[in-house]
Amino acid sequence: MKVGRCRWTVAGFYNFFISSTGFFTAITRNHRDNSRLMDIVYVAGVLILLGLTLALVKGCSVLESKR
Amino acid sequence: MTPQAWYALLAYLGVLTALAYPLSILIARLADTSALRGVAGVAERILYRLAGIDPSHEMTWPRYAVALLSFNAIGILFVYAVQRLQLWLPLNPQHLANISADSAFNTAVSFGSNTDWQGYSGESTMSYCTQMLVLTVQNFLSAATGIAVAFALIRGFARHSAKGIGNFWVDLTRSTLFLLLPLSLLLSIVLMSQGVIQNFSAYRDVTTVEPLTYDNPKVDADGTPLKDAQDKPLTESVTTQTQSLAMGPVASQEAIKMIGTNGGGFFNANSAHPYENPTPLTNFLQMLSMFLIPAALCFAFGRLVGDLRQGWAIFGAMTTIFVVMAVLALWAELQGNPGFTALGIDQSHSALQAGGNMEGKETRFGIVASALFATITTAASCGAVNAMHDSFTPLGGLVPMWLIELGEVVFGGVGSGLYGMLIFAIMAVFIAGLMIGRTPEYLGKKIESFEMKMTAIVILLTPFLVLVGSSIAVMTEQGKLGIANPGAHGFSEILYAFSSTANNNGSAFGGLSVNTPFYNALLGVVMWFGRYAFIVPVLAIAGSLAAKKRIEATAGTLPTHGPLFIALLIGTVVLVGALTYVPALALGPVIEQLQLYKIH
Repeated sequence: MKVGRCRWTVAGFYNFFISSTGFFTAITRNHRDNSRLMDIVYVAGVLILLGLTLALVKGCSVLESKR
Repeated sequence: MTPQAWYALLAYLGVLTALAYPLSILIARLADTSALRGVAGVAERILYRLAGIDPSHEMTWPRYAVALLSFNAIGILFVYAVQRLQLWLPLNPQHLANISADSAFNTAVSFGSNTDWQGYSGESTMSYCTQMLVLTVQNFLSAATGIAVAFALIRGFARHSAKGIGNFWVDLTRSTLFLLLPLSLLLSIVLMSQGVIQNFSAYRDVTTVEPLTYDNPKVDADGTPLKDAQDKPLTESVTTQTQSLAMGPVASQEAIKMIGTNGGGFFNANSAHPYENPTPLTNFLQMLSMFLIPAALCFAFGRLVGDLRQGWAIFGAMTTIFVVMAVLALWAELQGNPGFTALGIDQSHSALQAGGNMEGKETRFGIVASALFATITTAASCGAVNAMHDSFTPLGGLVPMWLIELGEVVFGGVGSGLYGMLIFAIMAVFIAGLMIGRTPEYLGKKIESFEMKMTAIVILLTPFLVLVGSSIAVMTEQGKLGIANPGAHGFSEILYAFSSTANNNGSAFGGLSVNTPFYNALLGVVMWFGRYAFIVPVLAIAGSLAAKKRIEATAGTLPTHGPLFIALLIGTVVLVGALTYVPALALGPVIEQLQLYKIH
């Protein structure tokens, strides 16, 4: 793997983790009620996590095709 | 170590091997992609036709991964929805309220990812409908997902010049219908015969022999706990002679909880509760259940790659690490607290007392069955507990935590343990290849740069999640608020929580209040990535290996079925685990153990 691509892979995954964690913690901080807004947040959260993992599938697939 | 401890350990391993070996024949047949015969074949064909699935269709690894991820995401959203609507759904005789959004999210990801981390107390929050319709169902499906990934990786080794790694829907269906369901049905009947309950009754109020006085938290009209000027919870003394006994369909959930290495208890006390685990016999069966499929998968692996010795080698490596860790945990708990010894307290084992460290343990199990259970449940990625790991001696508590941190590869979860260990096997042959200057190969497949990149992602992923997650928790006020014990033990509580969730174990050290928006959200994200970001590169390796040609072994090929390879594999697992986590462990259980000697 070229150094540049490796760096981007690591940076990308780091950002995935931090951004998704930040997303949840920022929105849910001290906020606990049964409003539908929170349902939207968490359902959207699951879809974001799914999207990020599908992006990992795509990334690995691209890496495989370029070897 | 008492003779009883040695007998228990040897009996356990003997019965396990005797059961796992024949079970591997069934598993190997299920992994074979050819059509099943007889009633099983008819049943699965009907299901495929109803679902519009072509069972002969082979999936490439990205397609397999997308099917797996989509299926699991839909399951997680369904679990979330049922929790949020349980008040209006049937089978809720206690009229339990809807689960809060953050807790529902955490529990949904937890059960979907086979972690079964529980921030909630089952009997006071989950209706029977929620327990059965979503939590128990996910226990089956998440376990079957793990087995499917293991099948895919095994096919990667077994096939050559192939584009596909199997069909996810077929693997999922077969694992659920013909492996998990029959075993669970059998075990649940045995559990019921021993006293595990199975009913839909409302909770029963019984009169106790003596009145009980306890401190009850004061709450306002909205149910929010009241606090004093020092921000401490206000309590009031209450005396009662009535006790509420929680009921429910426990046996049906208990069986798959153990067989599927899920670990999510029906009750908060999990397998320490007498309605979940009433007798020493059920305790032994539960311990067996946790390792049964992971051990059988080792032999099935050997059968499927055409060399049973390969399966024995993986089984041998797992067993060796397990025995060493079990002996360490048993020894630490049987020794007791060194601080007590200095005070002149007799902690020796005798006919009159259990001796050792009995804190947090059930008297009907004692030290040996509790320490052995703790070792098995954390080696196996199960997470069920029959004792409080928080109350173990620091060294005894270090064993479960470190077994989790090794990556849940010492038998591990159903499927996930084997595919995790095979990733370490790839790493081991790579290291051996570097040492002798040859291209590494495993089971006739050359291990090249792509496989090693994927292996690196897998091996670095969970330490990243554990250490970064723990760092966030100890650096934020919301993270520190959950700690019950200050100092090294409090750090251990946080480190254990992130180790448990990132590695999809699900057991709790205890002592950490995690049912808060902060922990529910953060641990939910950690569980997701710990499961699915791990699976994706494993499937990528499977696809890459399946496409390769098989090369014949030569005089320069490292044999991967002998003691040398077993030692190399153990060394790789232990060194990676040790080097990654030793600094963190030094701040937690290691320093705590040293403090016990320092004080006295």
